[in-house]
Amino acid sequence: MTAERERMGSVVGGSLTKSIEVRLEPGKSAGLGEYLVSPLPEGGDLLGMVTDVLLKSAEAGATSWPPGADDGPLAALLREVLLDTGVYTAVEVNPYLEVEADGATARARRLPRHFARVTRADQEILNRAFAVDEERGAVRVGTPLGMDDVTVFVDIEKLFERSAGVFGKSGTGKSVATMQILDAMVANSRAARVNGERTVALIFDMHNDYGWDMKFQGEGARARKSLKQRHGSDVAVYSLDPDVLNTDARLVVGTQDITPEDLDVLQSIGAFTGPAIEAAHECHSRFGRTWIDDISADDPSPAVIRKTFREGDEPDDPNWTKVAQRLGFHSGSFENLRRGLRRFTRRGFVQSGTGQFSGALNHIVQTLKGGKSVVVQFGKFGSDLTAYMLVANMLSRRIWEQYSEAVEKAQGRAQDEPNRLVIVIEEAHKFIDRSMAGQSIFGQIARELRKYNVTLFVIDQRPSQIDAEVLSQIGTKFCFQLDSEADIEALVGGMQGRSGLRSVIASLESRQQALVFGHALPMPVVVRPPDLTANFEAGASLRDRLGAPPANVAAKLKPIFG
Amino acid sequence: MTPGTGGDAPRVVEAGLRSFVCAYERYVEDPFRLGQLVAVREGPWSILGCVVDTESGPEDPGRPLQAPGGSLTAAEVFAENPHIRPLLRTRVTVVACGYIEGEGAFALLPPAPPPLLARVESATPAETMHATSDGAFLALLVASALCDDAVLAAVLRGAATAHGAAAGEFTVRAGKELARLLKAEPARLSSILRGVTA
Ligand SMILES: Nc1ncnc2c1ncn2[C@@H]1O[C@H](COP(=O)(O)OP(=O)(O)OP(=O)(O)O)[C@@H](O)[C@H]1O
Ligand SMILES: [Mg+2]
Repeated sequence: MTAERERMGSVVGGSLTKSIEVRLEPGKSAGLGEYLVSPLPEGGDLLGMVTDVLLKSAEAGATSWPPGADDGPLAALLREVLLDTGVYTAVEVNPYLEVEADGATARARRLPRHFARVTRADQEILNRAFAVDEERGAVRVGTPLGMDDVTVFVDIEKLFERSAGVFGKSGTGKSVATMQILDAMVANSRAARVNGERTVALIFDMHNDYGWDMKFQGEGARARKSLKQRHGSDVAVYSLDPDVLNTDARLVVGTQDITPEDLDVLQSIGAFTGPAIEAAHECHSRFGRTWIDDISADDPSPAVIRKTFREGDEPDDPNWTKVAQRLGFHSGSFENLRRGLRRFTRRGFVQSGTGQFSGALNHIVQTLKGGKSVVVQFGKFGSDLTAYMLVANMLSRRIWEQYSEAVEKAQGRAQDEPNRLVIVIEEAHKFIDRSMAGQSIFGQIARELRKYNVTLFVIDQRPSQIDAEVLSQIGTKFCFQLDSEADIEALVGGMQGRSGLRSVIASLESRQQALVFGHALPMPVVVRPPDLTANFEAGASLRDRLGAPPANVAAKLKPIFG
Repeated sequence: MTPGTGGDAPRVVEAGLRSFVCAYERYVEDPFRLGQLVAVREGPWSILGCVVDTESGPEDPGRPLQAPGGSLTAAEVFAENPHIRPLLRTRVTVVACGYIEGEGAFALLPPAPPPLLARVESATPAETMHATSDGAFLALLVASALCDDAVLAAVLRGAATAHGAAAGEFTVRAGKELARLLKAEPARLSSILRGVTA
């Protein structure tokens, strides 16, 4: 039988669509993000989250003529006497979940009666509320606020069947949380019986967090083991930077591999102007695959001249200005394009020619299809946003094409479909910003993800800059402390009880504390993610925690023991 | 000696449900104190009440007391004129604030007024604690027109003394009850509590 829950107060008013007001009993206090429980009239309990704390007065008198602030006996006595009589503390509670005695849960559709007793949620009811199927893989997302004995798990499949996002300002713990989630995902995939059931990730690792190790500020070591070290055979690391250690292969982009579509996305960061991109399309169709090498040369080559001017029309002293004029480009735009491309080709990961990019691409696709996750590390190029966006965009577009082709070809035969792919990108707002979500491959993936088994996992500091439609496709959100109202609003806008969630987010601590909500969770929860210690264990699933054999072992056992 | 005890206990001379008056058979200098809890233990229940007023004067209002000249103190005048005292009376007004029936103490009006001529005695500290422990007794006092702020302050002070070491706790508990009763009258609340802390 359950132990008595701590009695907190009683319901004194409220609304199902906004919040319930609970008057606290003398001496009780509850903070933002904590859970309270109240019985429902026809049985079952309502579980809700504290979203505001109110200091109220029963009558105007007590606060219009408050006791003095001095230490005299009268003022002291008056202050004490008026507390919880003339003035009192109430909390606002967002109603979220109905929990039946048999453990069934449902979205809140009823309210407790006036004066219904309100208690603090305990381990038992939270375990029921967040129960995940023990047979399925789950990620440990952390312990709810003020409840160190409870661990909240999220079903991995549910988490990745839609896009997910981790948001928060710098240093809040986004990378650590992402690594923990991916770590659990990889561990879970390994336990899958067949390759097709494995979810794999393609991680564009801007800051070198998800390969061999990750930077970590803490006692002792300055780094923590990351995915490659934890799951050597289930993760392949590609690096653009030749100096990065512990990688499986190097990734080089050939100038001939880049199409103008790949540059579209770079408009948003000002690498190219719109007219420059138009010129790029024209050059590509006119000069063919060698277009970048062609137009980054100091002077137009004979081949370029031949493809630009009609026979007999060639100028005597051909130069780029004349070429631009002939092709109808504004000379400034054309210069912008050439300058931009030359900056590119000076970067170490871009080589003239084909650069074995398509070989690497095929290899990556095969690796993903084989059930392994891929980390693309940028090394020293990580601070170069242009490089990051170009490569992430190039790879994602091509892989997306292959995936959608494969899915169409499979025509619904599950065994022929590629495994579920999660594309992890940082600084997502640069890719899917308001102005260009339409063109970006990531905008397209976010919209069509269900069709093709590809979802996004975005990590971002500025969610307000992300296209609203794309943001609304993100199913599960891990929200760490954010800087601006606009960012908070972007995440909770449109949600029921958003004003409460807004204040919960605003009250988050500056690191290792997040509000997690959305598709994969029955209700929002403020958690402290597990500590990333030197010997952090995946501890991925509830099954692991309970010490049961992992699924692959269990699967082997089944046929033997019938 | 505790005032009003012994053979000289006053008796009920006017009985009402909400309040009653008791009188000493003659003039006494040390009657029940303002705010003190008293008990009438005759009848099916003991009625508890609170002293809200005391007055002394001639028994017959038609024969006013003549003030003698000279420089004697009051005590000396009474000693020299023993016939005066029996012609005077001391009367005490009490507001009912509860009753005790068997094991139960109720902060309610008694079902019937105290019997006329019943003896009125000081409540024992145990009775006082019993009757005042939850602060509910204050409701009857606050509702009575006979009870002003000074009386309430005196009641709380007296009852606090009966609570001994727990006096502070009692004062806060009773104060909270008063705050609820006087929720629309913050000035009254602070004037009463000023009297308590003075
Ligand atoms: N779960 C955790 N366990 C232990 N320490 C943590 C945890 N989460 C965050 N930290 C601490 O916070 C630091 C910053 O975390 P992290 O690198 O994940 O931040 P971030 O949000 O990715 O920042 P940025 O936006 O700058 O990349 C870590 O180095 C670590 O010291
Ligand atoms: Mg980071």
